[in-house]
Amino acid sequence: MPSKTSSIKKQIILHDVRQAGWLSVLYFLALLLILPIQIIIQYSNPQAQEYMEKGNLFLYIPEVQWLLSITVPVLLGILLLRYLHKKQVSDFIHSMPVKRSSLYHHHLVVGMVLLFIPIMLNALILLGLQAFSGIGDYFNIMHVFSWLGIMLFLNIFMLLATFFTGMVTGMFSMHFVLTYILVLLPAGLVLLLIANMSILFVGYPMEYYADMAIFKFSPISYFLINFTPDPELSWIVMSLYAAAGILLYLAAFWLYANRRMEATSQAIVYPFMRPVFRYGVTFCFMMVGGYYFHAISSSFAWVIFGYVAGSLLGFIVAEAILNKTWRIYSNYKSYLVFAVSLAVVLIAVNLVKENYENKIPSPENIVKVYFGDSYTYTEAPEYLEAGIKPLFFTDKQDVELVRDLHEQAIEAPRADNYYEGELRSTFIVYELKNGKKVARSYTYSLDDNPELKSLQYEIEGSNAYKYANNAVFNIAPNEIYAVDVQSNDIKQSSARISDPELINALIEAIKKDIELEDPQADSEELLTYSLDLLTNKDQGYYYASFDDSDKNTIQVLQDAGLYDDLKVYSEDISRIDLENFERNNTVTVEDPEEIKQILNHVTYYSEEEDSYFVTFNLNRGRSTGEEMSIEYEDLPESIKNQLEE
Amino acid sequence: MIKAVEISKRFDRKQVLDQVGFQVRKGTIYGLLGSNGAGKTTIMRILAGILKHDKGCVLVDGKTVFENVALKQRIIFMPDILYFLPQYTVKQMGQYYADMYANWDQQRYDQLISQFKLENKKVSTFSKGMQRQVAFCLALAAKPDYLIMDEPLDGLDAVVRQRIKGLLINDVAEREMTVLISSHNLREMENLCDDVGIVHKGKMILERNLDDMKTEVQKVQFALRKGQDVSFLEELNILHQEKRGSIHLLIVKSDHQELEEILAAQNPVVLDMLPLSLEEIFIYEMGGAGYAIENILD
Repeated sequence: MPSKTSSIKKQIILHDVRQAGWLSVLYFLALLLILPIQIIIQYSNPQAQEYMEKGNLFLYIPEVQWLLSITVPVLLGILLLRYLHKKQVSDFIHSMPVKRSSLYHHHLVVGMVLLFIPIMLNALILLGLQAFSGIGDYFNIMHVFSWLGIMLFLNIFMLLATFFTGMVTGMFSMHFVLTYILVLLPAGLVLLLIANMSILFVGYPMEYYADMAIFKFSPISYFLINFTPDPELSWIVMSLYAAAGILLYLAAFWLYANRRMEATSQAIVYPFMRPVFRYGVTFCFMMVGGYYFHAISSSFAWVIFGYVAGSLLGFIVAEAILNKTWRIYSNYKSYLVFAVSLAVVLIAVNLVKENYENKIPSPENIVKVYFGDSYTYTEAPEYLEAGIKPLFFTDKQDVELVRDLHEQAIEAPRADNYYEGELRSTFIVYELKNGKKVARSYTYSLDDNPELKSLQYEIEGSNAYKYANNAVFNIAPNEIYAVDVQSNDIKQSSARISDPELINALIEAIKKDIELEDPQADSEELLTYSLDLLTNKDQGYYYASFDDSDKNTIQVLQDAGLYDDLKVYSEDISRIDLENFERNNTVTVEDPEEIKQILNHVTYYSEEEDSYFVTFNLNRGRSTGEEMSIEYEDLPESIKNQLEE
Repeated sequence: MIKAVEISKRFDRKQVLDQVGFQVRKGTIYGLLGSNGAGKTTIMRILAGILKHDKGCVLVDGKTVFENVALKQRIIFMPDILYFLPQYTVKQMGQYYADMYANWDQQRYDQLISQFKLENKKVSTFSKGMQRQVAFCLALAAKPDYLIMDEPLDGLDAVVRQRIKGLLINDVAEREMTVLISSHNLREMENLCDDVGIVHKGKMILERNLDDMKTEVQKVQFALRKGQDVSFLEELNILHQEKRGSIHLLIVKSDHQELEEILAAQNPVVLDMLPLSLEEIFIYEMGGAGYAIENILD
């Protein structure tokens, strides 16, 4: 019998539009307000126009653009697939003479079009503004197209993810929750795994792995970071998302074709997925529990408690969702299965633990070593100033020294979060001849481990360490076009140096001072100066602070006649006001000798209750007006007497 | 023709249907009887192509229904709890069906709607009885070859019920429409169905042609003269026997005329052939299992 009806069902489309069209309209209006209207308002106000920046369209409230992009497609998908999550509706629709594949594509295409229209319309309006008004100076056609492309990409990906979870669940409320779990899961799971590895393995460098850009694992975080005036989207990541989107589309299609409609109103429709959900939730809760107790207590017994409590809670939550009741004790066997398999995993962890923790590459395999407190600095170029390349230890003796310290660090007890005293967080990354890397990080006390302490100071005192950890050694002087020097924190004055010769001399002096620095000696000087080396490239700069103990740097500034302007001498100070900790008693000091003594002992802030707040009044130059502190014992005797009265 | 052979279905761990089999001949009305939860609805949802059965086979005109669009064009399923698209009016629902069903007859729809005196308002504002009437109008205007209805006559008043029955019988007679109808009320099915099947706890426990049944089983009361020989009763296939004073009450499996002749030959003082309800037939025929049917059917 030839069919009179078309394979494109007008009525299905009409119904979808009736049900979800309003969302598309609101989306259009929201984007209209954020972009064209805001741009027009800013442009038509001369004062605001002055501050308008040229560039990408993500300049305009990117957070809201991002928030809309990750919520509107999800809400849309939930509305379009609501018929799957109610028995009566599901029966009605599926008794109709339409194939599931056709239903799926109808809803998906309608969803995509409902997302496409508001974004596209706004892009067209922006193109119109660009072409026919002076606003065109503030963004160009490419900006509009890149905005359009990125918005559509994220919106459609989120819609596909929502369609996938819609097929997995039979419950309206779970649809929402599962969608966000799905898109956050890759990043969240990796983060939790890394965090828990660092509990189980001493030396596991959590920051090292956490910095492998976990944010890329979830579109939500990836686009949050990239909804900026200049998005740095990687083609690889985008292709992976595109591939994931296609997979989600195919998987949802397959699931729908095999969906059992009697499971409508079940949390998870497909029986084979229920254990995945049950144990997945249990596992994640366990890791959160363990890490939480590790963070607040540092005791391993509490960590175990966290694992047990977390997994139990997770199991109960998962079971309650699956069975839609809190009476879940009948399934305690499933929890035992989890507990047993977990015990097996922990035993396996123990087997590799020793091997992992004691591993130090042998010297002949090592090409170079990083040693410092933060590997991110050297590894991630975005933290690096222009012209700087990360530096490593390559010298055999230096490498041997690091290996010795590494050996000691393995033996040293893990420092407690609440440890008082000198702590070191050390990051060691070996790069091996076979191209692999071995990364470890440790936090230990220097006072409790004298051998470690001497090694630490020996390395920190070595030039190799100083070269590797101070970016100034890698700056090409001709990259620097100016140096800004700021006075210490009592006086407000600064100077800009742009003479290339002087810049060179200053850089050399800074290097020399760093080379001379003894890691063990705490500088006596309390007041520091700071300087910024400004580079031509990417408006980058190198920041450093120095004080009066950095003789070479000071000498260069003195020779250039800049030092007197920066330095605060006691003669500069006309008066000092001292106020006690409770702020109910003020004493004024005007004697030059006393002023000198106070100036030599002043600190930025003291928590001691017998300390005093210090305010300086200057003869020449402007005071920063900021309060500093001084401790009672450092006060001149005469002042002490005066205070006692 | 609808043919179901040993279909089984599980919902998770619960066995809902256990090797159910039955046949609905073309152009007849088949009543599916059973208490709530017996599995009637599941059978119907499988026939409507909503669910997939685990074992056995279900064929409509020799083909499977699941995902078979051409076949589903000719099948309408009316669930026990009706669903209409939210905010849709009577007219809009008609447009929706027209887009779905190739045989849609708009003229007939308009005719039926006015016959039932339904206004063009949002269906959700109607009473349950009126909604049911809208559902019938939609179903009949789609001119299906197969109409599957789950408890369709519930909540309708006698007048409307009669009118709908009339329409159904009309379509069956005129277009040879095949109807599968479920109910937990045997009396309701009595003068509507050609065949009935009783489902209990997921099993088909009895299938009968109602015409055959009525001609096969007779209810009779008679009184004989005192001391008259009753040995002739042993020749009869008696399902049930009672004696009140001199009056014998018999339920006999026999042809009407044959039984009357046998009894008349005994020259009884009283002889009445009594009407027999479907319910009585089931109860007496099922003998020991009869009580079960009493429980099933209220």
